[in-house]
Amino acid sequence: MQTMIKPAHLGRLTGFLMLAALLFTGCYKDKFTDIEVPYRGTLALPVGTVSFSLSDLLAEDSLFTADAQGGVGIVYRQDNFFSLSASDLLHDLTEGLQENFIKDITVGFLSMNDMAETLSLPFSQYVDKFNDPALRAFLQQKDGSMQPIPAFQENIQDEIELPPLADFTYAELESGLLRLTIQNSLFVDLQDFSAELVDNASGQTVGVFEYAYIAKGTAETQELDLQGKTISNDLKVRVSDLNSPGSGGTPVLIDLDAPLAYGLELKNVVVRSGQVAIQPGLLAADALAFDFPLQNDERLAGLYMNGAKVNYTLDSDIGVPVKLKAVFPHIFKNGQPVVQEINVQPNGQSSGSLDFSNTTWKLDQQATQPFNRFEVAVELSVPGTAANQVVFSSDDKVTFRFSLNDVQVAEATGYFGFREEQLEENEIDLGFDLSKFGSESSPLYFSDPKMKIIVDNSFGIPLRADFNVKATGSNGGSALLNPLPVNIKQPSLAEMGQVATTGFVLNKFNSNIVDLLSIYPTSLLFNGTATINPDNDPQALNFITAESALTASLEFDLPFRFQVQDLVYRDTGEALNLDLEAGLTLEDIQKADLKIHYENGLPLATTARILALDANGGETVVVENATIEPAMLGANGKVSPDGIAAGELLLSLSREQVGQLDRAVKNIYEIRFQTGGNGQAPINLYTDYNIDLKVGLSLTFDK
Amino acid sequence: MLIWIAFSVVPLWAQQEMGLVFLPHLVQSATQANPAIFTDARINYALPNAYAGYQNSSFNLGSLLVEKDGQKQLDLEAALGKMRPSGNTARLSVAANTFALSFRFLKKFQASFFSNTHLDAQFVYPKGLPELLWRGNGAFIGQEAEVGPKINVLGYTEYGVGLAAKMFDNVSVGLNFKYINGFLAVQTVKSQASVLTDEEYYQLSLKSDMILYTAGLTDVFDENEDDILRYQYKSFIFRTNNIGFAVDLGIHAYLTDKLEVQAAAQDLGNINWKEHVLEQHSEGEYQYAGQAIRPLGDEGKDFDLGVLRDSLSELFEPVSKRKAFVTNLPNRYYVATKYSLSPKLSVGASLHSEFYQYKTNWALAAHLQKQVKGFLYAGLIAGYHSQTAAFIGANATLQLGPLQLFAISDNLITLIDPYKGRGTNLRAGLNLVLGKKKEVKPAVVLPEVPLGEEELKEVQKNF
Repeated sequence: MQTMIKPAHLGRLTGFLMLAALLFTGCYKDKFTDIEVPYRGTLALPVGTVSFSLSDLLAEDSLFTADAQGGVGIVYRQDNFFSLSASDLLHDLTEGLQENFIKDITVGFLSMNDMAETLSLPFSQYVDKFNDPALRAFLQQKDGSMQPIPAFQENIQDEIELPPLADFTYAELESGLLRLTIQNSLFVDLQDFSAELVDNASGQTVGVFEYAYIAKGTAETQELDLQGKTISNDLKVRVSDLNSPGSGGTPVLIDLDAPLAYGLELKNVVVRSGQVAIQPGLLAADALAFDFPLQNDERLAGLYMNGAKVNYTLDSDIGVPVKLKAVFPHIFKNGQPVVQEINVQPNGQSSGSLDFSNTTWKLDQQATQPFNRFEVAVELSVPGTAANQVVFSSDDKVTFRFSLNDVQVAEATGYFGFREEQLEENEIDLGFDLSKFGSESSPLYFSDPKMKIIVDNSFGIPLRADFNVKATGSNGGSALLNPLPVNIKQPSLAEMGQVATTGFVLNKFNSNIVDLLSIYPTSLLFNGTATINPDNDPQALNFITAESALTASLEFDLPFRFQVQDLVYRDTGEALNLDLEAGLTLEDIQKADLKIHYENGLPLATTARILALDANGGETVVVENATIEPAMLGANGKVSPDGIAAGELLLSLSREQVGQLDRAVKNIYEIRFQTGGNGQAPINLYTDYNIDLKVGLSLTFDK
Repeated sequence: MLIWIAFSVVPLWAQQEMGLVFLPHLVQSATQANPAIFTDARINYALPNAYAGYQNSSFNLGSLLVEKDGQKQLDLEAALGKMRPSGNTARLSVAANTFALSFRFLKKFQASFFSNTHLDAQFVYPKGLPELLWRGNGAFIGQEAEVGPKINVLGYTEYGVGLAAKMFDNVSVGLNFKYINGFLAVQTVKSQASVLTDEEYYQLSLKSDMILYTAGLTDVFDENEDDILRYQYKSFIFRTNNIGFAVDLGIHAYLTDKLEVQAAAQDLGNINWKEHVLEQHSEGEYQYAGQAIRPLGDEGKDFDLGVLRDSLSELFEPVSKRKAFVTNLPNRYYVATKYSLSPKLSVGASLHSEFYQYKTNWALAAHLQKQVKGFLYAGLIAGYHSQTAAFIGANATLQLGPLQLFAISDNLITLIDPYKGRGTNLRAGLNLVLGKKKEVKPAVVLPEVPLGEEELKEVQKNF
């Protein structure tokens, strides 16, 4: 059976074998005591390797790229580093829509139906009141006989009560006609007939009707304009004189039962106020226009609302129940104009809410103001079939109050005004761990950095972006990009739903990008404004759909051509932990030699220091300025294989120096890089550049 | 028993007991050297006696020390200067003769019965191993240091029966047959390990391919194992299931009345190890180039030797499995010749070789042996050993009635001063002998006229 064995316990076997040796050396024990066992050997151990080519870094980190010539760079892409959504813009644009509106719908003058009443009185009643007793007697005696009738003029002062008119009790008339028709059914003609219409309620004469001649068997009509008059339905006719030219000697049949009839007509009466009977049917109609009070000269032509609610209140001071029918001729729901009917009790109030979700609003239908306006055609009517008299005034009204709430505009067209929208601040963490570059590093100047910004815009709005970028460096410094404002392309109306892309490149000529990158940026803060309709042309037709959006992405194109005087790379490693065991301690180390075998393919002058960091944060330089030669550039500005610098460094450490590294809490490895020309000449980095450092340690003991 | 062995073994040195073949008055010459040797006494019984030996092929202990400011310090530099690139050997052998009886019968035969317990430990190492430990790998920059050691340990108890017979009047042959009980074995089958320190920045490349067989031991590489010996019973030294057999063959002849030659082959056999056996296999390669640091990415890390140590531990982490194996005993051969200058004084020479673990060692020795009085035998030996260089030794036997007190060593210098000399053997103990030959008769003056064949036989018979 095979058994796996744990790490060796050689000591037991060795001990067993040594047992016999000890036995036979027992007698010579005195000869072998007090023997020192020194150790002066040398241990040579590989510490490790730092080996990489820039192509390795490229493979490991998608930030790095290589161009066709193998030049190394960073391409950093950040999507949505700032954005503007339809909801953002629509909110600002349409918040003025959520307004309170109030309109009075006044009943106005009330037209009444024409009214007519007729009253006939027999001639005998008038004869009875003749002042001439002879004539009176003649007529009474000859009644029924043929007699010539003499002319007569009688002041009879008769008052005839008219039957009441049904549709009002009293009324202040805006207009109207009172027509009094006298039907002469007597046996003689009448002349110079006068009748006074008297209002019994007020005792006032409504009017006097005079008829010059009324032939027998005919009727004569006189009219009275009632404008401005107030009448009641309690009227009487006062007849003062009854004159006749007689029969001219011709015998006529005297008939005292023959009537004299009064026909009273009210026509075209328009009541201003009074107590009248309001008939069922249309009471008033109006076309109301409402304007949205927008603050930035926006001119909305159309809206599509996903949601909207109209809260209304109707206050009526009309004495009859009324129904308000509101027709929104240019607000469509399911292709039909929106129509709402609301009933209100006499002198009452009605309130409620109307759903205007999923409605299309055309705000450009009025020629005089083809924007921001919507209309409501209202009809105020009296429902039912029966009319009741109520106190009425032409000033009676229904007050229509409503407010537009919970507006959710999905689409808008029109001119959205000239204004600035604040871009939402956004901070990008570049993801570069630059903490290992020392704060004393000099600025790192890239020769040809570029920042490409791509804006995708589906708003149909001319926009100008004026943004800025503030970089925060790893050592706390900051720098601004200060780019010029850029105009953002937009889709035309015919391209609604499509995206217009604007791309622009910021470089060292049109921005501060070199300084921005020189501070070892770790994060970028974007902010700024977007100016809407920067040309302020009200004729421009803008649009927003629910899907409209503006997003901007950023792409750094950073070829590694740079110059730097003193790029300090500091890394902290664990303290040296030799953990020697086998009876050896650090105190037994006579010396230590670090052997560094290097192949440097970077054209950077490199020096290295090793410092010991104590528990109090103090730093002690243990190894000073170990210099690694830079690779040599060829005529083409690139390091060729022949130009790679290779060599060995042998750094001797004393026991004390080894002790410092061992006692340190941490060891600090500080490497300084400098480009050629004392940091003034830029270099390119290529993918085939590599560094190969191999470090070995030999420890010589003296115990 | 181990304690007994330990206290019986005084510091002595190594393998081939070159002096024993010239000491027929000791029963050990027949049971430990040549089974064809007829001992001087008719009956021999060995009281407790023991053997120990030590070899160092490259240096003596004194070369490990230097005097500095009156203080002795370990310093391997001198020893390193003497080491060979590979095959440096340190070896320790101990043996205890727990029982031995021989007796002669029917005038032409000698029977023997004996029991011995052996423990042999061999450490073979390349120079690179101590040099790497002493000088550090800094001394091997750009070089590959071979560091694989071999450890071979053999512990067994043999139970033997021997028979010697005089085939002719001047020739005798002998055979020892041994039943062997093995109780401890470590055998390195393969040992390849190297450390390369690259000169570029000291990258380390280590290779290991080692196979080790053990028997009687616990899994010594298992850190959870507390015991060393696996046996759960105390009599393992005398009885286990690790069985072997071996023979010793010998021949002895008088070429003339003063010149004798002998040859022997010892321990021709092996042990089949079946009980408590393990194969430990460690194979792998490890390269350490330090930490690969990526710029602008890695956090700082310790430079920690622990990483290297852990990796090495994993590299030399053996895999164990049960596996039976066979070990050959160290096969020893010798030929010797002796010339008697007088009845009590002789000189001789011997050539010894040993084949063990696929390697042959040899030694050449010259002997001088003298019986000083009737109760004292003494001798000197000098020669050259392929592992321990030149040596000079001595032996002495004090015959007190039937009691023999003896001590034999082939390197007195090491015994006197352990800082000098690279090895020695020492055997010492007590024997009880009975039927020892009478005082040697006066020499017979041979007639000047050559004797006839019948006359010569009569003289030799009387002699």
